[in-house]
Amino acid sequence: MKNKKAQMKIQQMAFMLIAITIFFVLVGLFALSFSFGGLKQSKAALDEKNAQLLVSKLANYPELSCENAYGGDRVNCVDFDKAIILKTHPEYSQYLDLKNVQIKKMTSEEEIVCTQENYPNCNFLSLFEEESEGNDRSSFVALCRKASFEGQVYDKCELARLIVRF
Amino acid sequence: MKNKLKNKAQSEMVGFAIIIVIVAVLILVFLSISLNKSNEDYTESYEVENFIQSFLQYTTDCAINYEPNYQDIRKLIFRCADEQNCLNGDYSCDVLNETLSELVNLGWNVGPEWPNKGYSLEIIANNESLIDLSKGNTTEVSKGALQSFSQGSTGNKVDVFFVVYSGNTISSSE
Repeated sequence: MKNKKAQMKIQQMAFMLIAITIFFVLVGLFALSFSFGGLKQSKAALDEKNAQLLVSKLANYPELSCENAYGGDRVNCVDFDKAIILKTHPEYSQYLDLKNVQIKKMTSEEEIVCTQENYPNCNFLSLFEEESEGNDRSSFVALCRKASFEGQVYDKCELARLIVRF
Repeated sequence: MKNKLKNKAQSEMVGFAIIIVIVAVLILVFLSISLNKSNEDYTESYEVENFIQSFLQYTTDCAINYEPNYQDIRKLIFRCADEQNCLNGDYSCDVLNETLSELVNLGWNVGPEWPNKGYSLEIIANNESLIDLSKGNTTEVSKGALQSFSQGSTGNKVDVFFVVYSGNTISSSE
C-alpha cells in the first residue's frame, strides 16, 4: 500500500514537472519570438536612420562641403564648384562606398543635366552615373557656388536635394 | 484515505493554477511593456532640420548698399525685423515671405494625395511673429525642428519653427 502511494506521488510529481516544463518552454518561445520580431523592426529603423545620417554627413565631407570658401563655417552646404570637379573622378564612388550621388536643385524649371560645358546653367548633377539598382536616400542641402555680377564675384547659394544611392 | 488523496490532488491543482495565473500576469505585463515601446513615435526630424539649415543659407534677390551684395535668408530675417528695404526698393519682409513660400512649396509636396498632408513655418524675431506660412492639414503625426540664432551686434533673437504633418488628418488650415 505504502509502495503504491509513493509510486503515485512520484508519478504525480513527474507529470507536474513535465507540465510545468512544457508550459515554461512555450512561454519562453513566445517571449523569444516576440523579442526577435521587435529586433527586426529596430534593425530596419536603425538602417533607415544610418542611411539618413550618411546623407547628412556626406554634405559635410571635405570633397563636397563649402568649408570656409563662402564665409564662416557653413553646415549642410555643398560646394557646386567642387561637385562638378568630382564628376571627373569616378574612382570616388569606391572611396565613398556609394553607387551614385546626385544633386538636384529645387527649382520649378525643366531638368537640365549638368556637364562641364553647360555648368552652372543646369540643375541636376549626377556624379558617378552608375546605372545600378539600389536604395536612394535624400536630404536638403544648400548648394553654393561663386557667381559674378558685372565682373564682381559673389556667393550664390540655392536649395537642393542631395540624393545618395547605396 | 481516498479523501486525503483527493484533497492533496486538489491542493496541487490549485497550486498549478496559481502558477499559471502568475505566469499569465507576467506575460501580460511583458506584452504591455513591449506594445507601449513599439507604439512610441520615433519620428526623425533630420530632413526638416536640414531643410531649415539649408534655406537659411539661400541667396535672395535682396541686395543692400550695392549689387551684388545679395542677402541670404538669415540676414534678410534681421533686415525684416528692422523693417528695412532692399536696394531696389522692395520691402525686405515681402521678399522674405515670397522667397520662403517658393522654397517651401518646392521642397515639400503637401496635400491629400501626398504622404505629407501639410506644413507650418513660423519665424519669430524678438517675440514678434515675422512670417507665418502654413498649407494643407494638421495631423497627429508630425516632424518638426526649431532653429534659433541671434545677431551679434544688435542682439536680435530669431526662432525658426518648421513642422511637416503626415498621417491622419485632424484639421484643415489652407
